[in-house]
Amino acid sequence: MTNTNDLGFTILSLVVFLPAVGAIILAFMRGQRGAARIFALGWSTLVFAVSLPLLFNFKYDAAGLQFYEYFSWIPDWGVRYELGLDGISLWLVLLTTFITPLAIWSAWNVEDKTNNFLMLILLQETGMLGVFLAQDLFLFYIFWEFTLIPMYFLIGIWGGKRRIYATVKFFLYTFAASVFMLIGIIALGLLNYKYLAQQGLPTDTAFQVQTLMANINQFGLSDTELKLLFLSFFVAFAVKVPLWPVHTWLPDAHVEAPTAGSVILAAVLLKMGGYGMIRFCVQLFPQVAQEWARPIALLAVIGIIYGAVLSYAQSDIKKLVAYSSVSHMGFIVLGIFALNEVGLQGAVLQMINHGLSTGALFLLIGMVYERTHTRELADYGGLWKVVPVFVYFLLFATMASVGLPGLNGFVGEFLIMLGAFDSPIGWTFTAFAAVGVILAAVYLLKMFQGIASGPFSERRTPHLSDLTRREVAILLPLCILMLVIGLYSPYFTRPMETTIKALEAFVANAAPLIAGQ
Amino acid sequence: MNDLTFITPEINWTVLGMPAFLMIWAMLVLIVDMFTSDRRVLITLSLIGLGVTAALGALDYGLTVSGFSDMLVFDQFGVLVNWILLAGTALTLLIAFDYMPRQNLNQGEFYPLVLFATSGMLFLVQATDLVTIFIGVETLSIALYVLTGFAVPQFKSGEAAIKYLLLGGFAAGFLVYGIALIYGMTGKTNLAQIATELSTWQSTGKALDDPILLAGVGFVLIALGFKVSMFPFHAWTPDVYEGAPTPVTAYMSVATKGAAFAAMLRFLNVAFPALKPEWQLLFGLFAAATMIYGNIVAVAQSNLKRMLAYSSIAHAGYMLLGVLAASEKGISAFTVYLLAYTLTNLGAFAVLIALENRGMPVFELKDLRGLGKRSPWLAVSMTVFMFSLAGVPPTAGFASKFGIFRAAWDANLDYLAIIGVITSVVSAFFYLRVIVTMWMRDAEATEPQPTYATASLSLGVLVAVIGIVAVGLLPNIFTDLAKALVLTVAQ
Repeated sequence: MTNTNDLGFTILSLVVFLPAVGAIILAFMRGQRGAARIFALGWSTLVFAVSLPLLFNFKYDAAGLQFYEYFSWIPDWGVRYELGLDGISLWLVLLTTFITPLAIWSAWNVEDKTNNFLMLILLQETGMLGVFLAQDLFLFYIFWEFTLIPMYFLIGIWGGKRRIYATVKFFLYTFAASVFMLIGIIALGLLNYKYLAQQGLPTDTAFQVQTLMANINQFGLSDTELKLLFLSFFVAFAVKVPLWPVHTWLPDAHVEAPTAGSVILAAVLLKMGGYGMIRFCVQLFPQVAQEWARPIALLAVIGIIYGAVLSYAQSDIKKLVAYSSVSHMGFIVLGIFALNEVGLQGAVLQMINHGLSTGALFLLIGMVYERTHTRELADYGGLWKVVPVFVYFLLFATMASVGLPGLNGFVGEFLIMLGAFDSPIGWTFTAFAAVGVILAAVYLLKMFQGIASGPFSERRTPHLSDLTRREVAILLPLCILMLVIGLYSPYFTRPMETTIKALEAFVANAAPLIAGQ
Repeated sequence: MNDLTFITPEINWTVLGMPAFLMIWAMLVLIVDMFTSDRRVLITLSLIGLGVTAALGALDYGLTVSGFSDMLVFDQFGVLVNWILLAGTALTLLIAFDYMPRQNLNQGEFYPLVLFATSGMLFLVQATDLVTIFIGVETLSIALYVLTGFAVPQFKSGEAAIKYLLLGGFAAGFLVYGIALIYGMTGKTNLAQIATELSTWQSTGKALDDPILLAGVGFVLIALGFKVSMFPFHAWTPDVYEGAPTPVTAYMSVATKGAAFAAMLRFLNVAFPALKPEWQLLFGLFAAATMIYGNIVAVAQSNLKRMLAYSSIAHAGYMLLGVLAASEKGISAFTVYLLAYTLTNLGAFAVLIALENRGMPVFELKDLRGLGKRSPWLAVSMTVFMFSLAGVPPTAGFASKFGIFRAAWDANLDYLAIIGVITSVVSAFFYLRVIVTMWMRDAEATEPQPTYATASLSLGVLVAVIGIVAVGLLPNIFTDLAKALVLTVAQ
């Protein structure tokens, strides 16, 4: 394996596959539930620690891929095993390694087949990290599809009453959308293979993203063909994000998933869609992205409003937060297709923000549900007096999600709207998106109010006790980060600046589509 | 040629080695069976025979030799496919080992019969002449007719055998008639000589789309399409698969298909490259219909054996894409697909075998309920097989489908690649249903059925799982082996 970092070892492969190794070790710890829990928590924390050098050794001013490592994997097809990190993936990788131990810790009360549960979470982590780091389309696709398998089992085995319906829907929806991307990948790989062979260059980089970015204009593709290829990728990512109108799997999956599953789903899995849009839709097809920015922004804005309205209409708290994800993820898509520095920065930052605040909300709902076994908003009320610590945290996470200045959500949404306003998307769409921010305050405050104030009913919400030390310890890091991002956002946008500036320039300089070519 | 001296035929053992050795060895096993009823001896002997046959291929691997007046050929493609068939046969014997006595089918002839069938398949894979193709098809078929009816006290097994025999007889008739028509038009039976003859037609301006020639090609393809259960010649498949003893079903679903597809590849690419646009179009439609029909009908099945039967029809459609691509990429992708499919399907049937009790009339999906609790390792293996059949990474099923679709796209059969991925999604639906049933639905309150994961069967399952993961994660090992495969054109 060729390694280009100065750490002396292939750190990206280590980060990606360490969780899977942990899963294998867990397979040999059958019947030792307590030990398995501690091991899984320790191991995932170790993965987080191993991923930290990525941040400390990250070169802020380098635009290209860092910690780049590769070997020729399937030369006959032109496939390389290739991992790399840039300003866009850096925070997403760290978000993944950061959230996973917290999700594992939150699953302390899973008594049924504990080992399998923990193994699947670790495997899920490997899959997600692979998605964010793979720089070869074939490798990317393998990780992308692989992430379906652990989540499929997490929802299907440990989920709620309608878990089977939800998990099959989740799998088939995403699988169906992804196979078109497979066709797109095959087509691009073959074209590149032929082009490289024709130029007398080594053909083992046929599926490499960087090579494709450089060569795609040489393939002689027509306008329509480019658009179809763009679509084949876009549909897969749109379902994952999820963008209206292909969002319908999300509420079901979220509601039925166990808490740790919901947290991973909301915090990381959805981000794979946003990340894919930047990495593949925008980087490979900048012209199409420019041309279709407004229609896509329209879908995003519809999603923002639609998600918000539906969220308001929910009586189930978990469903309410699930629909709020549809709304929030609409902002991220809007920021991406602003296609300028501010918008893209906002989109990447908002992916992290949404991961933290919605992750925290799902954790909180899971914690209270464990005690009361109800998620009906109508059953709740007056918790402020009974479980104050819980309510403090809920207030904090709600405010972050609403976008209160000083907390993280505000920064991201502000940047996105600034970017969108400044782009061809224009002020009308941005204005509607801003309505979404107001609506977010409406539905989230409705939820908070319903839980915290009003009369308390011992009968409807029995066995309430305040958060344990473990639960506080899970939530605290999330809340601290929300505050830190809110106050010192430049620290978080600085590493992605160079990458995103380069991307903006790349998009701006892309040759426009010539109609009828 | 004109002097009448008797010419001793020169036997080229490199060319004939693999099928001939296995045939002779099978007879040996048959004789041993007369003296001992110890099935452990029989299976050991059979496995040794398969191993030696595979080694014979390895001995001269890389060489291209043709012999017997160019009726048989020994080339890389043939050896690779033969190896896959031998591995499939070995797995079949392993999973059948404890099943047959459990079902009270303890006749020792089972082992030599399987070896006879395999030897016919090896012969078919190496055949480069219409006559040897016919011999190969018949050798394997006759052994399979007997094997299908092996559980004959069971009504369904007898029914299946009769059905297969009658329809197989028709197919053989089509094959002979097709060969006769082709011979009548071209005066040749050798595949390469037919191609040469057709190119002289082209140069003399004679039309290639002669109806009699086309009918001949069509008839041969009907016969081979019958063997691989290609739509619309698939109708026998579900009944025969359901009725035959499960290991025989497993064997038929992979080995017969592999051999017949190899013959189809040689037939189309070596003899009729001149008619490529015609057969690509026609068979493209058949391939599309096979993928769509197999997958959609499989959705409606609740009987597991029938579901796997329809799924095997669908997979025949995918393999057909590799055949139709008619390129190096296509041949290589077909070989990888055959390997992945062999491992996966045999593994899936092995799990069914482990669950099948004596005299069980039907094998329903609900019998799998709670398997994740009862025998987690079998359930994990079945999960791997189902994901592989559906083509989900990182299994062999994905890597091989990728190769097939890539080859099809490259050969401008893009519409087939698109139909292929869409039907893959449909197939994911019913493969997932198996996984859901095993892991997510609890067993009914009745007494749990025992499982029979015996040592030999577990070995078979383990080999299949390891193979699937290995091909899935390191497809390069096999694509390197299978790259630059060319069909030998011997004249």
